[in-house]
Amino acid sequence: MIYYLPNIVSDDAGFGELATLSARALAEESPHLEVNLSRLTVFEANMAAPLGVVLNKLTDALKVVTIVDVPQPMEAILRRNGLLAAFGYPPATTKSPTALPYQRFKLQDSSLFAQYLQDHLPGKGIPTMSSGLGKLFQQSLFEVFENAIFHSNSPLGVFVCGQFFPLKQRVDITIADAGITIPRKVNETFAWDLNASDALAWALKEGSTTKREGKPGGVGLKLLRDFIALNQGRLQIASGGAYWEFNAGTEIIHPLSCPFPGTVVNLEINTADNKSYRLANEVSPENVF
Amino acid sequence: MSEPVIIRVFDVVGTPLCVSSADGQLVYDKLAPLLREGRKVAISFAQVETLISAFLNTAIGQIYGELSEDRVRELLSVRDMLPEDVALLKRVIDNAKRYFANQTASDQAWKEEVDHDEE
Repeated sequence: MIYYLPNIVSDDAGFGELATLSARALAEESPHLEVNLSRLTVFEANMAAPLGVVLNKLTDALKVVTIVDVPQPMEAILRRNGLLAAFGYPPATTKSPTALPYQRFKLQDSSLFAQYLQDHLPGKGIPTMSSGLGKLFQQSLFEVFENAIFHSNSPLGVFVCGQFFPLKQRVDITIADAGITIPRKVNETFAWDLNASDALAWALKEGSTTKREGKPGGVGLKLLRDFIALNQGRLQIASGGAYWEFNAGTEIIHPLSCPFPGTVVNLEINTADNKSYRLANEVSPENVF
Repeated sequence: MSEPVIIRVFDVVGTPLCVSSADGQLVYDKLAPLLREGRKVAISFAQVETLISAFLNTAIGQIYGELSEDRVRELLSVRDMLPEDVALLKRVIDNAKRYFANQTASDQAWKEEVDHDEE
């Protein structure tokens, strides 16, 4: 089977296109999948993470996946961020100053994610950890990564990729898993039969959690949303059949054109943000309980 | 009045990054037995650089499933925390109190509301 990948950007259409690739290739009897990139004129490099989920799901289903006809400058971008090297291309000899490389983590590898951030975040437009923005950004990434580790049960692990866009003064980091999906987890946990969008909307309410056994949760995504609102960034989640986006204070949620085989969270930070994130000492440690 | 037992999070977790539920459970496993015995405990966050809510939910939040708010307030304290981390902990604690007070009822109410909207 030959699949011509269309342009992919970080939006609902982009996630839907990747999900369509997955669904069509899985439905084909042929064990060979040739992903032809000759029609690409745009591929936002952070979308290598969800593409990695899709392609690794296919190889896990014993499909032989090859990526062919990669046009320039796409090839340079995708070689330097490591995606093509994961599918048989020779690794790039130089590193991109703007890429946070494509990397796959096993669920047991959470400490390696910290190392990844330490190695690759500096120089991508984010102030250091000593600044309020830098600290909140790293906290947010750890919240998303831990959510994937704890909830996804993703047998293929977690896929991460990011890209700094200096001219737009934005950095996108995308964390994707090939796991159970949020809508399915919500419905299975509570024996509900909500449609995907309603189930995702429930999960995004503050205090909602599918954790059982007496462990509270459901604060992380709300914190993330608050941070993104202040930063004037963008937060996107595609999970199973649902897509949610929070951008410029506006929230949208609707079905994806094709269900994504996992969960993707894209965090886009406005690096031009220079407001102070140091919180006033509003809460005394004596009053916290 | 007896001195509290001090649990140093950095020592328990072994890194300045408190970013996983699994590490939070390590802290909880030290904390919970002491509180069950009625011992006073102070949790020190000295040398901790990054905290996330998932860690705090597990390390501290789940204690509200075992002990009353009054009892927790009487026995537990925190120290050596940055102001923004105290604010994060407060949010986690408030959420945990709500969770143990009425989570099941709240989930069911939401489900019924969605079902009603779709009829």
